[in-house]
Amino acid sequence: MRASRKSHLMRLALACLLTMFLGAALPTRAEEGPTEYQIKAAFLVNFANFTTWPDSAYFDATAPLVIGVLGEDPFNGYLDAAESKTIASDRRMHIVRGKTLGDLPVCHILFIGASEEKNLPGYVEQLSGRAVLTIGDTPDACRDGAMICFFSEANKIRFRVNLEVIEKSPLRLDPRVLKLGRALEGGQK
Amino acid sequence: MKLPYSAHKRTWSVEAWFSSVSLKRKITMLIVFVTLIAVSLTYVAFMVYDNRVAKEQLVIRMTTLAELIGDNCVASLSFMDSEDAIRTLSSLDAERDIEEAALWDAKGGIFASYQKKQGGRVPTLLPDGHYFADKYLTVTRTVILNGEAVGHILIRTNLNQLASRQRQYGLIATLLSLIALGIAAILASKYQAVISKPIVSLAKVARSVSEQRDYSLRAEKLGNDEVGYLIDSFNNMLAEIQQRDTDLLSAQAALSDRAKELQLELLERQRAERATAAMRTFLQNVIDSMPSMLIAVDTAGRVTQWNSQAERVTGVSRDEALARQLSDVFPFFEASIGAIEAAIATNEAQKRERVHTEVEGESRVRDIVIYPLITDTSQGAVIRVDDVTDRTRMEELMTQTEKMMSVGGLAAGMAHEINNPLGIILQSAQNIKRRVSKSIPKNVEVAQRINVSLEELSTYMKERGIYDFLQDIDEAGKRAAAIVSNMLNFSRKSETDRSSFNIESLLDTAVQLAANDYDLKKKFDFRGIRIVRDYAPNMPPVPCIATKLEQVFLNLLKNAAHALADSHSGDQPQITLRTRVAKKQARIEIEDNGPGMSAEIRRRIFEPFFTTKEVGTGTGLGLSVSYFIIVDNHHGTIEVESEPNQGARFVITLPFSGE
Repeated sequence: MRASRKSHLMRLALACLLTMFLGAALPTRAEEGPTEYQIKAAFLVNFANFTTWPDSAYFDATAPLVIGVLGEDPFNGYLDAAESKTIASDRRMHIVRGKTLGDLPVCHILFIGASEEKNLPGYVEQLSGRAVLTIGDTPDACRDGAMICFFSEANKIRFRVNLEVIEKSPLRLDPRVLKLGRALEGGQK
Repeated sequence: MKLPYSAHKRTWSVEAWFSSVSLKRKITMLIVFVTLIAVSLTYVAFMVYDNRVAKEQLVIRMTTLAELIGDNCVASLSFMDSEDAIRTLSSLDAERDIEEAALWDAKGGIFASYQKKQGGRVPTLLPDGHYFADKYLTVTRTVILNGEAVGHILIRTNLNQLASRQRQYGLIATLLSLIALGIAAILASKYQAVISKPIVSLAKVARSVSEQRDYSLRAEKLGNDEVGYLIDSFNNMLAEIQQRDTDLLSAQAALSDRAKELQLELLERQRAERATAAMRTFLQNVIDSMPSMLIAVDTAGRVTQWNSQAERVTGVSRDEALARQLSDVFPFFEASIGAIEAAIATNEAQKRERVHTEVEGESRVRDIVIYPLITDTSQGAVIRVDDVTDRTRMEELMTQTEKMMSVGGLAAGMAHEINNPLGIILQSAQNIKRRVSKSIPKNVEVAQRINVSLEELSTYMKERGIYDFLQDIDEAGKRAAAIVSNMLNFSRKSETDRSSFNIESLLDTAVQLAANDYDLKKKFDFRGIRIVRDYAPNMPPVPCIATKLEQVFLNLLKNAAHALADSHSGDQPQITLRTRVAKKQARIEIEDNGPGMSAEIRRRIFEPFFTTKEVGTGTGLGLSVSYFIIVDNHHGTIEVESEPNQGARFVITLPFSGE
């Protein structure tokens, strides 16, 4: 247990170094701080950590957590780093990409990029009641039925949560995350 | 001010004070003291322990709190939502003592901070742990998500609560300690009796025993512990002492009875001893009171008894004489040793009478009687020596006096008878002479008548010596008449002319008379004799008949002169006249240094007609007449002391009283 924690620390340190290396190597829009999708990639991993999937969501005990990126991949490779990470349930993460939902295997987290915004409601409908955390890249995605959607505020990346949808799913989001997330305003149930 | 030495030296010591405190208080104080120590230790231990526990609890609470806050901030950190983190930290407002808190991200950058008081400085990040410093406790924890450090949290709290808790607990503990002490004191003073009561009662009994000497007292036994055993032992000891006391008392009574008996015996014995001693003293006094020398000797001739008279006579003290040879002590007995041995041998008394000895030039006469002495323990002889000198002399004197008186009476009677014929003879011879005298006319007439011539007759008678015869008759007759006259004096009591005279002047008169009475025919010259006068001063006058005493003195002087005339020794003839006062008597001594006389002569010297002189020289009556004058007329005594060639001393004593 302790050894595993140690290895986690090692990996954390390694990730930090990698992040710094990448940050230094890759061109950035703002010289200070990480880029938007760098943060969003990290947030994706964070959501994986703060969400509980039912055991039935996995094929077996060693099955990885699959993150699907639907549409055009905006992460510019930043998300790949997540493949080297494990989540709290000690599962590896696996990134899959596809243009349509049909292109993808069963995912645990489905990132629906801005390019698939118009198809989002259909996907959500399709995945309703399934153990898939749906994350939209646009501020209105939640209104369309995504569980979580990113938006920018005061030059910071923030997210909303669609509690209604989440409650309908078998997923359990950490209340701390729920607290951070802006509840969907307006006519959302 | 200088303290007195004792006060200065006196030091107060706990041990000394404690040892003088009563047992009850000792136990009470001991218990209270022990309780105090225990309570104090408990108090200190409790306070220290509580302090530690409180700190630990505080640390645990703070750590938990930090972890909780950290956990609450995991999402904030993960999603970089510092506002949320600040909100979370601000919830610490509810915690009164938490002064500040801070949150760092995984890279160590400050993420969020909270300060209760405004203007505070953001604290620096410390490694995980808790730090007590400067009245603050600081706790830091790493915030972990999914095994990865996502940030660090720090919470700093003051220790007011701890201090107040400490104060409260301290107060409570002090209170409890005091209560415990009080209860301990009360219980100790109440229950010390459990221990002290038996001991105190034992002590009380012991004191009563020692004060009243009542060994019948017993201590009450209150338990079966050591004190109980002690009390048993004490009681046993008392019983033993009581028994011993009783024994002692009876023994004492017996002893006192015995002591009384012994005392009585002792008194009896002392009385007997006193009686014996008194008897011994009495006997010794009796022996010492004896005028005789009483000397006892053992068979070996050693002195065993020596009385006072023996001391006086010999000049040897009793102590010197005892156990010495008698002959050494008193050589006088040398001649008697045989008699002493004879007495012891024959067991018969031996007598030796009239033993003459010369003691310091004085003749003493002693009777010696030696009695055999046979006692239970020893054998020996008792010698009695009586000085009979005086008695012998008195006897001699008495004998002489009686003889003299009878001879005197005889002589006087004879003289009286002779006197008449002698008168006729003298008368007749006188008449014959007168009848042939021519001067008487009657003779002439008768001669003429018968025709005888008186001248022729006278011539004839002259021629025939008749006148001479007549003259002889006359002279002899006169001499006889003088003798007779003297003899008549022997019995004549002449009380005439008695008055007091000075003896010395009488002696001097006698010396003068003697000096004039020299006689060619008697061939002595009184003037050739030296007269020494040794007169006692203040000699009182003696009542006497002066002429008679003069006659006595003259007789004695003439007698002495005759004796000196006969002396052929070359010494200067000397007569000493001596007077002394002795025992109401005047003592007159007339002493010459002539030839002296033998005892035979001495004894007869005062007899009438006894004379040593040639016939015709003396009448033989001088000393006899003197004797009668002194003894008969003056009631005195006259003696002679003389030895051959030792001179002679006539001693006259005359009473002053006149009777």
